[in-house]
Amino acid sequence: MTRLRRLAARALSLLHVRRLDRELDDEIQTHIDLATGRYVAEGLPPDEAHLAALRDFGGVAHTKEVYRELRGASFLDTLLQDLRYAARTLRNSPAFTIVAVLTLALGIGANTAIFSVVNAVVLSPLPFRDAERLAQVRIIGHDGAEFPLSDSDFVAWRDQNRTAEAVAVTWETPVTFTQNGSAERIGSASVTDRFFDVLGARPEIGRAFEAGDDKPGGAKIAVLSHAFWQRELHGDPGVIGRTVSLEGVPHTIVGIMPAGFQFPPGSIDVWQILTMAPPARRGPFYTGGVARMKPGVSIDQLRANLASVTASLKARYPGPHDWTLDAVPLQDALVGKVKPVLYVLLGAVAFLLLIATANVANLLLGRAAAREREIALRGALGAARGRIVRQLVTESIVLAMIGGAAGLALAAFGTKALIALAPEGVPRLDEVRLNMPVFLFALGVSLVCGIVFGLAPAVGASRAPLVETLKEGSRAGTGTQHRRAQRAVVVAEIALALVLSVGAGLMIRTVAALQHVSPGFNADRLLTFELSLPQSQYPEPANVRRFYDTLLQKLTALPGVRSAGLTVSLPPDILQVTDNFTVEGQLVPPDQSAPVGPLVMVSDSLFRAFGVPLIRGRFFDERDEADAPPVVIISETLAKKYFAGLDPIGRHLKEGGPNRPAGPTNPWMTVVGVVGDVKYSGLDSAPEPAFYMPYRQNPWRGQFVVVRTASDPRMLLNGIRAAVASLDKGVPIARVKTMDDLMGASVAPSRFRATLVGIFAVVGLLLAAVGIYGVMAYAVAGRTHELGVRIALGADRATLLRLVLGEAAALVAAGIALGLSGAFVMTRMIQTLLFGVTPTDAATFAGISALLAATALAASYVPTRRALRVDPMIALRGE
Amino acid sequence: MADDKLDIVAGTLVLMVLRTLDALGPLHGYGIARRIEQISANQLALNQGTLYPALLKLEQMGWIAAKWRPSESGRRCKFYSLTRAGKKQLQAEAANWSRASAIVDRFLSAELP
Repeated sequence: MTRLRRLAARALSLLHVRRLDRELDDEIQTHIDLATGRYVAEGLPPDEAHLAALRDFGGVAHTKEVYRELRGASFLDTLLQDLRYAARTLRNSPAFTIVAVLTLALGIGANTAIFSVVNAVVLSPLPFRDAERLAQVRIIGHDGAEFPLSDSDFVAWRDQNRTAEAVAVTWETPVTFTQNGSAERIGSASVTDRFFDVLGARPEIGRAFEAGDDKPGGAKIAVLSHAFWQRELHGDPGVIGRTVSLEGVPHTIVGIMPAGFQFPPGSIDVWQILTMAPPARRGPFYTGGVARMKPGVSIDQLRANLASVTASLKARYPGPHDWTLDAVPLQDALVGKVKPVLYVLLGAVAFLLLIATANVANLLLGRAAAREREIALRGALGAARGRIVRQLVTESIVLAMIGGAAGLALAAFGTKALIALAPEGVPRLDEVRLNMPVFLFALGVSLVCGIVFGLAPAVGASRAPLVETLKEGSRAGTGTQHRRAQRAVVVAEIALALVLSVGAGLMIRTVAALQHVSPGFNADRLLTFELSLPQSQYPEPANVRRFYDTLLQKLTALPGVRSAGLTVSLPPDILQVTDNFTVEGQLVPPDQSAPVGPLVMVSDSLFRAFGVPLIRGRFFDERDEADAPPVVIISETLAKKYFAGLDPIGRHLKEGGPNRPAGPTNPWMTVVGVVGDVKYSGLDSAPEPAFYMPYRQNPWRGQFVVVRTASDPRMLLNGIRAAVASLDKGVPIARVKTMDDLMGASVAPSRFRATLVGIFAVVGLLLAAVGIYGVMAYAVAGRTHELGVRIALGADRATLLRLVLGEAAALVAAGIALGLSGAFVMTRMIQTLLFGVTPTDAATFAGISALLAATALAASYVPTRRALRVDPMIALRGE
Repeated sequence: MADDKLDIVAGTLVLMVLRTLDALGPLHGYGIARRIEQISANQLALNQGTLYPALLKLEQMGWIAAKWRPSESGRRCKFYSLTRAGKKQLQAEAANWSRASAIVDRFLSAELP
């Protein structure tokens, strides 16, 4: 209690130091006056009386100082004093200061940069009003896979909704925007009437969509994004009420959304109305649901609501029942996929910070050893232990703060580099800022670092026995305590660097493995682009056929073009359509879904243009005309998995499961060929049961055109553009890419992770090397005398080198052993990010260990060698 | 300062202050100093200034309380008075002191073996 009171008094006194000082002055003045008065009364002359009073009092200034110290005004004074002292000490050893600050800046900067991304992408709420009330709604299949909704699903949900303020579905599909005779593909989302209410978004000008806008037969209206309005309409506010041509159809502009509003995430230029078709059957499945929950409604209540909608849908429609409507918070839905990756990166960079901190702790330990005598002397002169610790910790915090400030500057660059390097598809990167939370993070990390790496050496130093330390004479820093602490720190550093490097090694091997994955076709010298014919000009399949058949002829005739083909899905990542299929004679239990696989419409020439191998039967050809019997080509995996060893050629297959019986619109198709597997769902995906239908029998308006060229495909771009334009100037060419680009983009996320963690690992490795270098340099310096004696007595230098290096080797071995066991545990956490390599891959573990051992031994060899080269006489005289 | 004056033994100043306040009631700093000098008959080498940090410490411990009020001469002075905790502390310290001085006395009066 008294202790508390004393503390409180001290704290309070800080607040009114001035008043207390004045009161003390008054009190002492009164004392002197009273004493003087007494002496005068005893008969002394006034000036002598005053002197006598002062003599009795004994040092006014000293009294005040002692008094103030006791009162606690000393706290701030002490802090200032410590800060000044710290600044002086750091200035006096610039090499130490620079190395420590740079090390810390690296660690803190890298952490701050990664944190700024994590903060923006994962931690900050989505940029919508009351974003925590938003949820995504989708179908979950029996194996946990997510599927879009059908119109009937949405209509049933909307009618039975009790938990949401507003619900909507969206469908993203690029559209052709025509202006002044030139056509362009732009991002578009078709949305139901309450879409903007769900997101709580208000237009910048005009109006957003309103309830009832999606009635069948309603006016064609559009809301534009801010960016599109600026880019194509010069930001003219008078555009409201005018029209834009989308797919050849005029749409009246009713509103412009503010800058920064984007949903679904991506680059939406225009929002159109999505009208729900009267639900005759359940399907097709193509929309994403989004809901704004009522205040106080939990996601579980929304789920329960959806469960009853699911039940009513199952009662109404026959077919498989192994699915359910499900909801997740919108934030999880949008960033859920990148979250684990970001947390792995944050973990990796935290390891780097630990190594950096350990290194600075090591530097400080080395210095503390060198300053042992200074500190012992201060102790001997009466400085309290707490006071010394406080002063040393102040010093390390000052160091950490400087490091943190430099780190923040580094993070500003690092964050920019990170965003530039990031693969496509990471959501919310445009929201990354160095804002207050990031700043506080950097500050907090710096503070913790400063305390952690400062406290250990400080406590150790202040505890050092005074007398021995002072007696150790000129042999500076032989404190065994410090040596032991330094060794422990180096072992920890090596262990941390090993874990980090093993993680990087596994990720690099993942990239290598992905690059060696065969996509199922020959990716060399392929140019791809996307065309989409507007329905208004190409209403019938015959029109579409005429365009694409002519185009293929023209393209093939171009000099330098080997072959050309059409496909609706483009490997390795753009899979447009999947569908259920039924193999004739195979029974699917009525409550289960039929198997699902990619469904790809291709031109006759596609397999040859791609170089996909024919395994059995034939490719499509002129026989497969629109009115000919329907045919299908299946992938090797489908043949193996669903034809159970039988020859599939001549057998039959149809789209859909038991709920879509065969009929004129869904005929049995004859299998005419089996082709090699092609990756449509990413290079790391498992082989899929794909089935191909001839483009002649299904001429879609949107096609990817694939051109195989004799030389660099980019050289042919102008010729290809001219060929398209010669057929129809109003058809925009979109997504022009070489297959090399697409394959690179497919590996990009893995490469990005591997690059980042690789950089962290290399920096960590270097820091660990610097750490062991420092410790060994320091250790041999302390043994110069001993080594000198040994050499003078005729010891072989090579033997001594082995002796000293043996010590380093013991440290390295301990670090590696510790690191390996750590890595065994840690790498399991990144299992999902790996491909083609196990998390405990022996080669990686062994290789990284060897690399680390070599680096560490090289780092200790340098100072050892130098110490041994010293003339023994100099070493001995040095004492 | 005269050589034959006694240096004040550590801790005893506290005891003297507490006892003075116990005997005389509220006093200002100078009053306390005078009283200690009078009782010790000028045989103590007390720097009166050292009294003030001691007073502050006692105040922080909660053994004495301080109050600014006018003295008989009308001048505003800081008056110190003993608290209940201070009274207890005085009893404890006085007992301790008696025991300690008795022990020392016994040592001094003991016969050489």
